[in-house]
Amino acid sequence: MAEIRAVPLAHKFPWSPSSDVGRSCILVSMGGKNIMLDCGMHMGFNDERRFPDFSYITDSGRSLTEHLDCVIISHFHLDHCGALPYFSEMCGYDGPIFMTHPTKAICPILLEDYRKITVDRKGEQNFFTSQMIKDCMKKVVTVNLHQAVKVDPDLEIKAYYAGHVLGAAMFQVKVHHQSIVYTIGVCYSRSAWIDKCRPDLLITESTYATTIRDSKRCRERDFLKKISECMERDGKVSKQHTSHPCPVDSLTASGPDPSVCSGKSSGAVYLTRDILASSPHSPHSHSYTLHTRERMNLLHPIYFSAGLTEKANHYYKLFISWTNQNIKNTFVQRNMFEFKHIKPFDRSYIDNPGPMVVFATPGMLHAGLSLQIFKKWAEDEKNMLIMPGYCVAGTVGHKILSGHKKIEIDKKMVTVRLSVQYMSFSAHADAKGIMQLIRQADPANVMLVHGEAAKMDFLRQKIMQEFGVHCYMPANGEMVSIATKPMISVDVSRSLLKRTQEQIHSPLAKKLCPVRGSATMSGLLVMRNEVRSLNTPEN
Amino acid sequence: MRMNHTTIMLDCSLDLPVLLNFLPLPLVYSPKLSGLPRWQCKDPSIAVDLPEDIARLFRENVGHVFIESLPLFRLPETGLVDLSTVDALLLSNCFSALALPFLIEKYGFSGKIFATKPTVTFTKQLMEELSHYIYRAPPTDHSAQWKNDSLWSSLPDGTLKESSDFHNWKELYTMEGIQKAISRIQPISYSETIDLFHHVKVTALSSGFCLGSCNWIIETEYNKVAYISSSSTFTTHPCPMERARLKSADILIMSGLTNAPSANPDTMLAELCTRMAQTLKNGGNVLIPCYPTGVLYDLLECLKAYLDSANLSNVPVYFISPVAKSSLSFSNIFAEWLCDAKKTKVYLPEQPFPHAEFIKSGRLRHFPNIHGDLGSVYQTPCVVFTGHPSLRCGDSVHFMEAWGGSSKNAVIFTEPDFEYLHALAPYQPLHMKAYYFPIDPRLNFFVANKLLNEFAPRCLVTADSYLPSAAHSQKENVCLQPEMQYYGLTRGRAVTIPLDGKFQKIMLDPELASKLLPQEIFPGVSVTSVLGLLSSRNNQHTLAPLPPHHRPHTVGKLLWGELSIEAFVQALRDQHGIVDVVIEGTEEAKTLNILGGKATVLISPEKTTIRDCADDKLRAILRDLVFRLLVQV
Repeated sequence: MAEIRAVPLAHKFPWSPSSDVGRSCILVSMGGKNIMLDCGMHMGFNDERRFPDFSYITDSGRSLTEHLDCVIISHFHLDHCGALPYFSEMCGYDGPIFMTHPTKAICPILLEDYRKITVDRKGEQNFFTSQMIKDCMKKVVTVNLHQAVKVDPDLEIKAYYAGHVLGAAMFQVKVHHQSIVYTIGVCYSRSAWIDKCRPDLLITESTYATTIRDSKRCRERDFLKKISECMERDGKVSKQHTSHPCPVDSLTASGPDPSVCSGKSSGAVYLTRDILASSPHSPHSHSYTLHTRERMNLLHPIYFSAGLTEKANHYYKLFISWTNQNIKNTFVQRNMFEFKHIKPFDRSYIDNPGPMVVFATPGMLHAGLSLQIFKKWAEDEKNMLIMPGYCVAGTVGHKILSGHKKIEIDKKMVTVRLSVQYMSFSAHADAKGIMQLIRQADPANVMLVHGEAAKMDFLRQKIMQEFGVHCYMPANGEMVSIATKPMISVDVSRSLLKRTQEQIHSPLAKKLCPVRGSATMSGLLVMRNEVRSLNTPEN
Repeated sequence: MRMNHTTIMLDCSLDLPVLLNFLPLPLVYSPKLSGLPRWQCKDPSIAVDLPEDIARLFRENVGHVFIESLPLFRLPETGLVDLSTVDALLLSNCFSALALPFLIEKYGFSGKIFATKPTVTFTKQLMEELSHYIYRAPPTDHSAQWKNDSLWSSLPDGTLKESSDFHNWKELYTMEGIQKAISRIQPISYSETIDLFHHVKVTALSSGFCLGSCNWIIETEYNKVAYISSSSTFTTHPCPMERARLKSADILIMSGLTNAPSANPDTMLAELCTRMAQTLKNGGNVLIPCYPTGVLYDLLECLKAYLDSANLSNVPVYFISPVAKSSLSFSNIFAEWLCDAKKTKVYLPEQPFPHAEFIKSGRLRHFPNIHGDLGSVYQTPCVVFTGHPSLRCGDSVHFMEAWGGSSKNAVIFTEPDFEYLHALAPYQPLHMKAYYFPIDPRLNFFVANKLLNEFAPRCLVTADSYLPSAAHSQKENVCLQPEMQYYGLTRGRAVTIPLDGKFQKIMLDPELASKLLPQEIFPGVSVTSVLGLLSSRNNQHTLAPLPPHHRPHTVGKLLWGELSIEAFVQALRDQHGIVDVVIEGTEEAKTLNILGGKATVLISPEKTTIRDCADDKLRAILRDLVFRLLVQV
């Protein structure tokens, strides 16, 4: 009996809790092929533990290139691709790496950005270099959505739109009659569509396993209310500067929502924070829209952290065909990623008087501009911090969200006085999305990764109950093995098939075969080399 | 094409050259065009009967006759097959899809439609532009009274009258029809395999002709048809032609070869640049009638480089079309459909086409029409790209009239679809210079022949006009030279090509399969009888184990192999002590007379028969021996 084995790779040191949301890196073996799904880095660690433990593979005595047939990267977030240069240039993997075009475009920029923070600023050693990122990218083969890519004659991969961030994709991997679907980062909507491909195994993330998030509009309104309240409070109380750092994920792009734009007054400010979010409730959207208006007291400056953001906007303009249908349809008249009201942020603005809104990276406040601003603004209670998504254990962001009032940053204690708001802009799949996806793809088995144990277990029960399929949630390093029953393809002679089918429609059908709509077929199977044919005995 | 119970339509072009039969449509009243002389029918028998209101619809100039009416369009053949029964339509590129709205509005086409994403976008733009040109200032006279058989046949030779089906020519679709048609198309990617009812699978492969252009593979489990539409092996802006998967098809359909087989696009481009520079330096303007997409992007790229090098960088370039802006914008967002050099540009990130920069620097300006903002920036000398390349509608009509009087100006034709002298005919006499530098990157016969050898299909299907005939001597570069069997196609005639269709696929349930015990009957050949439950759903067949209580009574074991007479006789002797065996008969059929007539065994390659045996015990011995020496399955 054939089987599929899947194992989420553990960290270099078995230190962390088993199902930590740290990063993704899953090894799958099926039909004699070995595939690695994602190659993520753990952002909560500053040492070797941030990389997956590849010795799991090399311990067998084979090199990574010998063992693995291909590596598939689902999207550009570092917890899914951060270890790639380490894996290919420092551990020596030389085989093909598959990702979509936008991922290939943006991934090296994030890697380089992270490398700069880690090596240049923190002075860490034993990290990959800029050249390694470039060399690694040379090994990347790009795939288009729905393109059936033959990695070799037996191994086929196919990408589907996932709507998580720009270029995010679900992947179907097929070896002969066995198949799996890998759907990290799927934000289920009408456009994040997969056909009823009935995989033997569906591997999905479960970061927000128990959340069923409210609508996009509600979240938008909520977000704006929080900002404007803070602004108003400030206006009445004092003229001291009130500032609102809003950490955003590694990359940010913005643009107005076309549906809101039309007919609204020129004073309106629209921000679309694309990479952050996509909503399961708005088809084709992986953009998150905020619109604020003059009456909401948002005459104050709005900043985006410069550099990366600007570059990101360029990518959005060029890869507009990968975005929201509305944005695509109207981009000729008005490019959604060009705006007047948002200015690039400069570090020297940190101490500017008066209220301001700053969108800064990275989202987990583990380094960079967002952390720098936080240090400056944390101790004034008029300020507000809006956290947009999940933070990995060990990061400053995680401590803030856990309610720590005193946080040590760079060996200095910072007292957290500003108000902290958590808003999920993140486009990770929620429970509803995962259930819809399972219904759509109709897998025989489900495996949950990338989530917290308790929430995952809840979802696991729900999946088993509703769909009656096996659902696994392995710890890092723990293997899941699934027995599959692949159908065997045989040539049947048309005459035998026709003769048998005629029985179905004959008046004697009931007598000939007890199962309605079926017929008893009697033939001779001839196996010659690799060819199997089913014939009438006479032939 | 009909194959394995599926009817597939390959492309859906509009015959645009018939536009040349009509009088150009100026935006405003044109004294020159409306003042062209009436055509006098030379055939007195017809001329006498001709009512005045029909005669006034025909005008004549320099040997060509033009119909003064709303242009009508010639559709694909609709008589051979009921179009409402077609299962799927495959669109190869934006230039071969322009008849789609007719199909849907007039012929009840209800099948699936597939095209790549860029093809969908640019098809829409081409349709919109054409519809806009035809309807923005339609002639007051909509009548189709000119549809008169005897009149048609008496038209002079300078008219495109070989298309005698003019009764079926139709008025162009409107924006509404376009919208409806475009929304029906299902966008796909290259190498995306689409399953049509589990009967056939179709796959689009890059053809290298224009953005999103493709060739198709149409295959069943056992047969493969490759359809080569407009393709190019030149290195231009699109993804290169994918060749590997076109190899060794059972049938190769080849169409869309170049319309300018003797012109090398690179040479033509160089000539175009030289003439253009010459005209501009003399203070003249250059008109390039063109389609709003396709080769245009390459032209703009070359032009920019050439103007810079020729010290003409201050000359403005105008691109005028209702879809100019969207064509230029969309071309820059289809990175994954471009050649590698352009594809990698977006990683920087930069716009893949230089025309973005050309626009930014203010040297290339695009306008939806001539009456808007163009007036405020217009300066001469300049280069104008505008449609329609037939010079029968669109803003090219305006520029022909405005610039035609001066010998300083020039019109340069790059589209070989329209015979340029015919296109110019209604504007004669002209002082403006006219050049014809066709730039058609599609396959010429020389390359097509090379590809035919490379792809080595079992047989070739192609247009009759591409095949060798008495007209063109058997030279390699004037026609196809197939070394395999071939079939010629002419409009309105079907060809039938036999394909091997002995088998279909069936899926054996693993449980059933695990119980099968094949026995080797020859080295490398094993057989076993299979009894199972067949179910067929959506044209997919599976064979499952029979329900446990169900045992059909009709099924027996089968014997397999060749009965060796020596072994049979030896076994009788060794195991049963029977030595009295007399062998008679021919090479093929032997008769074994056993124990002096107690039993007879007839052995032929087809069957073995035990006869004339009254002794049940002996019969059982003989039977068991036959069973033992053969393979039972």
